[in-house]
Amino acid sequence: MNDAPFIKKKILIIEDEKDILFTLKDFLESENYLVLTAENGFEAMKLLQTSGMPDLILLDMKMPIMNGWEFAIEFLDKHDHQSPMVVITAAADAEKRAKDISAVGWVEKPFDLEVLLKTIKRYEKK
Amino acid sequence: MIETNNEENPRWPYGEMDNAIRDSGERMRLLLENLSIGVVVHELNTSILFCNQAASDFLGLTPDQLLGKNATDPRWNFINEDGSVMALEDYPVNRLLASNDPIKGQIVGVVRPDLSEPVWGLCNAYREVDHLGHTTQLIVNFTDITKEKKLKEKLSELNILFQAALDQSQAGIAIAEVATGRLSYLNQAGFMLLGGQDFEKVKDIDVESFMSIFKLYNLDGSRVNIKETPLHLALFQGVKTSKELIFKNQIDEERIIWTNAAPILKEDGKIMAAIAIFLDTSERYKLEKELRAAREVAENATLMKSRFLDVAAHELRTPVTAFSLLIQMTQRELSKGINVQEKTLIRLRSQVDRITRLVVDLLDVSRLERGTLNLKKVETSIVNLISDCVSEFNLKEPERKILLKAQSSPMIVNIDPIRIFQVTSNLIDNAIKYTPQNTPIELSVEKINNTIRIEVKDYGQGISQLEQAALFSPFSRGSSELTEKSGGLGLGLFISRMIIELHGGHIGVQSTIGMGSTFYFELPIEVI
Repeated sequence: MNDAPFIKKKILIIEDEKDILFTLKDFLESENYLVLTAENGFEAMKLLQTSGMPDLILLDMKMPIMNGWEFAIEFLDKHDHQSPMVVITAAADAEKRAKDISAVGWVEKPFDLEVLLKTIKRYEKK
Repeated sequence: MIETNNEENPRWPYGEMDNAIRDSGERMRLLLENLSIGVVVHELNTSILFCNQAASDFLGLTPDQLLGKNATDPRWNFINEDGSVMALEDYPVNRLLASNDPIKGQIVGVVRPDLSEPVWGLCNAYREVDHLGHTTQLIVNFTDITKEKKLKEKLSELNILFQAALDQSQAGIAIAEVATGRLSYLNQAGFMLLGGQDFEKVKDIDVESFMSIFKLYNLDGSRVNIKETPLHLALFQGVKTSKELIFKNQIDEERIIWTNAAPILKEDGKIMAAIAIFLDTSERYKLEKELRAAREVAENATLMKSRFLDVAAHELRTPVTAFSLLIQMTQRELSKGINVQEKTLIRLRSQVDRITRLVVDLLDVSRLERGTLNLKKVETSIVNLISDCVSEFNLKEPERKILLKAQSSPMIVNIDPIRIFQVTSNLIDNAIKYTPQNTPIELSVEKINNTIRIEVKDYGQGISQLEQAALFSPFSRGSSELTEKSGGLGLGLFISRMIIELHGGHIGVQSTIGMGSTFYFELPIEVI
């Protein structure tokens, strides 16, 4: 593990459940990631204007204001596949949902932190 | 004996005259014998002087048996048309004797010992008068009308049967004739079925006026032209059709009537009349409609419950996920020697609350569906209760403007305070959830007649009429994006409605798109 701040990978978490959002933030920060958070797609789009492209986006689907589908459409439209997306969802058909929005992977709620970490490491921009 | 010489005395041609008379008599006899009309010649004392073969055949007696008999002979068993024994003075010959006028067209029945049924004759009788005006003979002739009479009776019987069948039919039957364009027959059922107008008026009415009594509609509600009705089509176009139509009579009673009409053709193929049958299918139609509606309700309920299960599963997954993550994080931190952090406990607590709310809602619905939710009513100041509820939200949501407008009187009502608090809290919660952060929420408590009305007014985007209708039903959470994006099971308003109804009150919403919504409930003030 490398603690040098300049090579920290940047993860954007988009999740409306604050408890989940901030627990994931705490976890990923403890794993040496630079974590950006947004509570819905709209906030995330706004954040991306100033933050630069993250190395991976963790995306919840059901959210108010701008949900996962709407975000994915707008993101792909504006930024193409610059950041890989991983869907985190409570829906029964997570795989289908991931494919629908051209996400590279998915994790089904509830999930194991280790599994999440593995998934992130697999898909994050190298 | 006188000697005759025709050549010497041509003015006295006895022989030829005798011959001529004899020939003429013979011709007359031949003519009479071969006539199909029976002829009986009576002397003035009514004894029979002559009868021809047709008369003897008709009466069932030989000429020998007849000659010399008179009209009083008890062997004549003459009967009247109604079957009663004919009085002697009514015998044609006796009537002729009693009157100077000839008898015409008297119907006489003869009961013959050799036949099981009477024979019938149409009789004429007249006097034969000499040059001095004296009656010399009485002549009765008769035509055998037995067959015609039987046929007529049969026809009349058939007619009665036919009429009875039509009259007794549960289906309405109408017959209209082409020649007149009028209704020549309408049975009682038809009369009743079509709304019981004045029967005499309907009886001889022309078809167009008859059908104009009603307003006619197709089942889809569109108007029907009289010319498209089966009776009209059958009568004037010769087309056989059936249709189910709505008949609306003059007092706006509606019946759904299946009507079928067919032309009645003459032998030459031309339309003579049309017959229409009417059946009231309103009941059947109503039942079918109810059945369809019931099925729809059942299907909807199934669909809603399965959707509800999806929502419930999703709603449970979220706090469970948070739990799982928080515990995993805590374990990691403990393993690194970091103590359990307060923020973790706060997060865990909030998720426990969330699950508790879900479980309480589910239990409430289950109790409501089984009718086992009991109220614990006590005398309560409704103003204080609503005020407490608002204060609680003001503490929880300090950045939201939640206002209460109420009179200073406490307004005591007999209610279950916990449940009414729950309802109020649910309405405020919804208002917070579904409206922008910067808009206020206004509550009011007001006494109107014998009810207390509590309103929760917001300035959100409003709710469409369609969504309003489903708001208070269980498992029927609006499918709009807004509700889709919000958490919860969507049971709150249903539970609220049931609680208010258990109090004998009423809950509702007034909303205009773009203007916000006002949810309200009214509680009766019980007079003790």
